[in-house]
Amino acid sequence: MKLKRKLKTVLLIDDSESDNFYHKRKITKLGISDNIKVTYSGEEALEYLITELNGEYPQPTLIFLDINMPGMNGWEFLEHYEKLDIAHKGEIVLTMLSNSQDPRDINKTSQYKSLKGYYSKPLQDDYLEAIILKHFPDYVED
Amino acid sequence: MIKTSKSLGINNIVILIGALFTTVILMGISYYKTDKSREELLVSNQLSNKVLEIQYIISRAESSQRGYLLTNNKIYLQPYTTARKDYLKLLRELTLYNKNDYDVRIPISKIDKLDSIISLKFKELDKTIRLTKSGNEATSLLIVESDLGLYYMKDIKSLTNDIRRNLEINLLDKKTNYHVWNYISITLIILAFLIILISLINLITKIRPVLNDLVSTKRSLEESNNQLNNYVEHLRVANKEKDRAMLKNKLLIDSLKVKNEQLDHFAYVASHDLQEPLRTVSNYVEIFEEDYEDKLDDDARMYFGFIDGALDRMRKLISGLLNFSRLGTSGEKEKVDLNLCLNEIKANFQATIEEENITINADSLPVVEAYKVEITQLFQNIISNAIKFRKPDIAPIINISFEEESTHYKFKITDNGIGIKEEHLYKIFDMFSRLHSAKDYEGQGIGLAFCKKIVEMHHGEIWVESTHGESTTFNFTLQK
Repeated sequence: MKLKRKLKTVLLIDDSESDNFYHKRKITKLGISDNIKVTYSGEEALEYLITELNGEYPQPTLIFLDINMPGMNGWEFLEHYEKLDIAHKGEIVLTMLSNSQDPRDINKTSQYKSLKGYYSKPLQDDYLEAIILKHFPDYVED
Repeated sequence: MIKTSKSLGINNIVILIGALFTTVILMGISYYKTDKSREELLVSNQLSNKVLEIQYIISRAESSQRGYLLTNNKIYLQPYTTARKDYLKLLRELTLYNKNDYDVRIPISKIDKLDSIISLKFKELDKTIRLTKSGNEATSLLIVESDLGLYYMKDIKSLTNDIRRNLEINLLDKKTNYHVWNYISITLIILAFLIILISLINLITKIRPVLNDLVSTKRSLEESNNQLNNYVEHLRVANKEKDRAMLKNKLLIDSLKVKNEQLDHFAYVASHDLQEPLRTVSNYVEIFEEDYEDKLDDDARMYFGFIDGALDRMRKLISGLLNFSRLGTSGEKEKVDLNLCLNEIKANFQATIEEENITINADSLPVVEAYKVEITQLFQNIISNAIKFRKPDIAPIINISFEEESTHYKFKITDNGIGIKEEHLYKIFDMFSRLHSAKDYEGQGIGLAFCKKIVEMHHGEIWVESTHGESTTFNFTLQK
């Protein structure tokens, strides 16, 4: 899969350093984006979203959200995120579940309007390709 | 009791009451008669006495007249005057008594006759007294000596005696009458008493067996009551013990439930949390292999191969454990048509079934109240095992049958596969228990552990029968 253009910004929200490193490497290797912002908590991610950089808000094209985090977890982050000004929000938000078969977590994903889907960790090549094809078909080279 | 009172006889009681009634009436009449008889006697005597008194009065009057005639002294006339008055009084009284309530009477004609004779007598006496008063004593004496007065006196005496005799005869008649009646009534009373006696004896002889019956019934009732009491006591004790045992059981079940929940939670947390470091190891082994591909020799590649294999197997084990802990949490029990489940399973195995020429024979299966996902998995795991452990040279035949029992459905799934050695039968339902090396048969040893848990979730039992090298039969029950 080849992309016509890369995504402007991808935001990773995950307390696991090793997972962040792995996901950043995968996304980079697949050529999805060169601008990958890594945050280690919900609070840090919110702070990042509402902070102007060079006169504009980051507005990431794609946000990967881990659910199982100490302190503010993924669901709590979503509560805050949905109250943000439209200018502060990103484009597509996806969650990463430790286990995509847990019916309790799957049920919860349908409660948040800004949540566009859920995937199982780790984000491997086939997952990432599927995500691009589904959410960013315009970026894909025919 | 109703039957008994009928057998006692209403006739008997009627006779008894009738006889008593008759006796009372007869005794009443008898009393009345006696009383009347006494009164009659009294009245009769009074009448008789009055008549006798009249006779005396006349005698007294005569002797008073004689006294006067002899002495010419008027003092002797005093009793005479009194006698005349007394006579009138007595006559009045006699007439009065004669009008009594009883049939005791002196015939009026006789009274009239007596009165007329006495009047003549008094006339004679008066005449002599009058003559004597006027000094004509000779004429008076003549009259006295004429014996006329004697005749009057005789007549009076015979008449009074006659009256008194008649009264006596009359009374005697009445007495005889009364006695006859008395005999009759006494006879009747004795007869009534006899009837009463006979019917009482009759009643007693009839009552006695009933009474005996009642006594024996009472005795047997008491006996059975005692037995019942003993039984109740026995039951009470047994119940107490049962309650205690049930309480103990309940506590055990509760603690077992809690332990099971804890175990499930433990399995869930353990497998869930184990996944994360496992993923990290797996991710970095992958990165390592990518980044250092050029620098790895064949030995290193082989080692990585083992690491990958172990990681893959561990991932499967953990995911199996995780799913095991989640059995029954996906939904509620519902009506499940097992025929549809079987069709779904056949569709899943479609390719293999055609490839291996597998025959699946099944009865028309029932609709059961069950967890749909889990119950399908139960059948699928057993069928999948039957396919997996087939004999290489024989086309697999799988027979599915069931029997309906009072509280459960009993299922039987038989294959013609490699069978299980007897010494291994006891452990096949254990978690991660495998009888074959991964080289021969792939698997994590969780399929039958799942089956056991699913059957237990449906309050059933699962067991296996097998002839090594010939066939295996899985039996399980599901509560209705």
